[in-house]
Formats: sequence, structure tokens, C-alpha cells
Amino acid sequence: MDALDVEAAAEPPAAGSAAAAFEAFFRDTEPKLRRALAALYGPEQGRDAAAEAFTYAWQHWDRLSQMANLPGYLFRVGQTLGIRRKRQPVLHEAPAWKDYEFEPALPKALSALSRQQRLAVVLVHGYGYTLREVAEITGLRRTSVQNHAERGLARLRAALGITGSSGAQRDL
Amino acid sequence: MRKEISDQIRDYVETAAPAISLAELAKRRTAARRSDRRALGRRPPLPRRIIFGAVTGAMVAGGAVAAGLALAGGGQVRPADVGIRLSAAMVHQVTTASNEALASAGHVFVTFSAPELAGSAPHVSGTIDITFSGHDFNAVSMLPQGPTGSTSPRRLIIRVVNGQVYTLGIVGASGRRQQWHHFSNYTESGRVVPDPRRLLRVLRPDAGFEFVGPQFIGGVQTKHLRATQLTDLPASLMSSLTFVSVMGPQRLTGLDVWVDSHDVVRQMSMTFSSRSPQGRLVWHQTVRFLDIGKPEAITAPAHYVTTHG
Repeated sequence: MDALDVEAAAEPPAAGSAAAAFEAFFRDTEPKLRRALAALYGPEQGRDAAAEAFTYAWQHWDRLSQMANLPGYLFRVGQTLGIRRKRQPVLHEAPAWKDYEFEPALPKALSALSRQQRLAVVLVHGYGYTLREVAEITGLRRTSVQNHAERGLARLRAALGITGSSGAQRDL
Repeated sequence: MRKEISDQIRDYVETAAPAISLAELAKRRTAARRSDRRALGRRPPLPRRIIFGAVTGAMVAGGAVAAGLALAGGGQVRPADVGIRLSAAMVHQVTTASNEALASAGHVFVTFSAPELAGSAPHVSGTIDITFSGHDFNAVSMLPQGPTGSTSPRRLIIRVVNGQVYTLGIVGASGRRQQWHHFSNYTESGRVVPDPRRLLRVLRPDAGFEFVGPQFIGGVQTKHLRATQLTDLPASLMSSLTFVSVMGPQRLTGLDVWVDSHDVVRQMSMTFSSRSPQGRLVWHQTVRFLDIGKPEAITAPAHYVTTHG
């Protein structure tokens, strides 16, 4: 039995549909919110902030489910949590495990970008989210997202010593 | 590495920040509910009251000691325990469990930042990956570089096997290897690679550790502890792991420790500061303990050049 079902079983009858609605929202939004906060605060703290933001949403689902842009709201909740936890200066670091398939310098190069550049590069170039999607969740203007994505990618490529234009504009 | 940069970004994020499950949310939600109930002074529903009441009663009777049994005894952590100060026995339990777990072998991954002016964004960092087995060590250092320096990684490997010291430098993005060197007359091999287990010496009752809250570290549920009395802790010992100590006198301004359900240290995070003509310098160091107790085979390199120095 899924954990959500366990919780739902303990809720009043009316909560069953609410649990299903939350589950649908969670499945749809979790990847984007986790990735956005991981980009901002590093994978560990960002993931933790995203999990807490979703926990908050679940606890207050009756009220929050009525919001027009709940993903954007939870992104700000996650930002608040991420800022509170930002005690460690190294946001992105080479992982301890040895069999990863990315450039070892990538985490450090991401850290060197500005917060908004990092966010835009990861979501737009890494995952192919549209400028509109990123603008909705972050509250930035589309043109700003585009500028941050372009400049951030250029800096990232330079930091990693990548030449040529392959993939630079593909996702925009 | 020939993958597209977008593929690499996805690989990195998805492996370092894996998907959150509903089961994890359920655990967090349950913990938050308990915290809310305690904060509001409500009694939980009847089926849980018996168990919960017994725990609560024990806490009232025993105060922090009873809470300490739950914390130091490997029980589930509770957000309502936040702020509880660990007793000397509890700290001793963590020290003993950690020393025993790391006695034979282990692996630590250290990240550190070079000094930065207080309040400015960090810009330089490095890592040291240390594997140890008994008195043998293998340390892979990724040396820090400034923002204007080359982006090519500079790595140094130091290996200590049976008291003999071997080094290998790797320079450049291509990972071009140099020759292993063996220092045949080096008599202080124990000081070449600082033993990460020495850090456990700071787990002392006089550090005034308090329970901060539960937290997942590397997928493991841990208890987050924070030292509140830092003045008597050996800052130089703690900074020796990343050679920060050579930068002059420093003061320890923060120490956080994460221990698992067996009271074994999983991670330590330290902050140091010192004065300079430009202002207050701050640097950080995080030590993550991995592969605890897992046997490690550290052997001398097959080919090397002997240096009689």
C-alpha cells in the first residue's frame, strides 16, 4: 500500500478525494519544483526544501488547493526554507560516488553562476522546460529567464572548456 | 566526457537530488503533526495516547535524561525534542559508537572553501576524498583555485601504505598523469594525511551539543546536533584535515554534527573565522563519513620513482 493511502485511511471520509487531488498535484509538480530548488540551493538542501514545501502543501491542502499558481507559491516556500538552511557555502560539489557520468567540474561550474542563471540553465537547458513554464514557477519575466539561460549557458560552457554551439540554443 | 551538457546537467541533478516519494512526504507529515500537537498542548487520539502518554510521562519524570535515551538510544527522533541538550552520557555514547564503527576502515569526503570575506559569496572550494584502512590512507585532493584561475582540475593523490608515502599529481582537464613518487626517508608519514577519525575528539560533553532536529543526509535519517560551547574545542585539530590551519590562527564559530540511528557520526560541518586587514575571513568545511566499516584495500602503486628525501 502506498504511504499516501495509509495516511488517507486515517483521514475523515471527505479527505479521500483531497488526498487523490494532492497526489495528482504532487506527481505533476514534484520534478519541476525539486529541480528548481536543487539548482538554487544544491541537490541536498534543495531536495530537502522541496520535500518540506510539499509537506506544507499537504498539511494545508484545503486552503492551498484553491490557489491559482500553487507551484509558484511552493517555490517561494521552498526558497524560504532553502535560505534558512543555507549554512554551507558549497551549493554544488563533486559527488562522493565514483561512477557518475558527468564532467566532475560541472557542479563547481554551476556554483559559479548567479542564482538566476543557475536556475534558468538547469530548467531550460538541462530539462527543456519552456521559458513560460520557468517564468510561472519562478515569478521572473520570460525575457529575463531567456537572458539568464543564455548568459548562464555561455558561462557554463566557458567554465567547462566547451567550444562550438551544439545545444546552446536548442531548448529556447 | 562527450555527453551533451544538457544530458550532464540532468544526470547530475537526478542522481544527486533523486525524486521525492509520497512515502517520504508521509513520514515528514507525521513528524510535523506530532510537533504541532505538542506545540498546541493537545492530546493525541486514544489509540496512540497509551504509548505517547508513557513516553511523555517518562519525559516529565526524567526530563532531558529520558529524552536523551530516545536520542542516544537510536530511537526515532522527534521534532519536539528540538533544543534538548545532550547529556555527557549521550555524547559519550555517540563518541563510542562512532569510534567503534570507524576503527577499522572507512571513507570520508571533505569539502572546504578557501577564506572569503564575511558576507561575500563563496567563490573558491576544494575537496578531499580520504579512504582509510587501519593506518593506511589514500587521499585524493582537488585543490582550490581562484575565480581567475584555470578551470582545469588540479588533483593530488597521497597514499600512505605501511608507513611509506607515495604521491601523484594530476594536472589539467585531460587528467594527464604524472609519475608516482615514493619518499623513502619520510619518517612522519602519520602527518602526511590527517586521520579523519581524529575529528571525533571534538565530540565532548563540554561542547554543549543540542538537538536541532531530524534530517536526511545521503538518504539516511539522522539527528542533527549543534555545539553551543565552542571556545574550548580544538579549532586547529578540526581544520587540519584540509590544511586550513596553515593559514594562521583561527577561531571555530560553528560545529554541526549529524548522527544516524546507531549514534554513528555521518557528517560534520565546521565554520572558522579569523581577522585580516580586509575584514573578517570565514571558511567552511564539511566532512561526510561514507562506507563506514567497509573493508578497504589500499596498496602501494606498482610503479614509482623513489626520492630519498
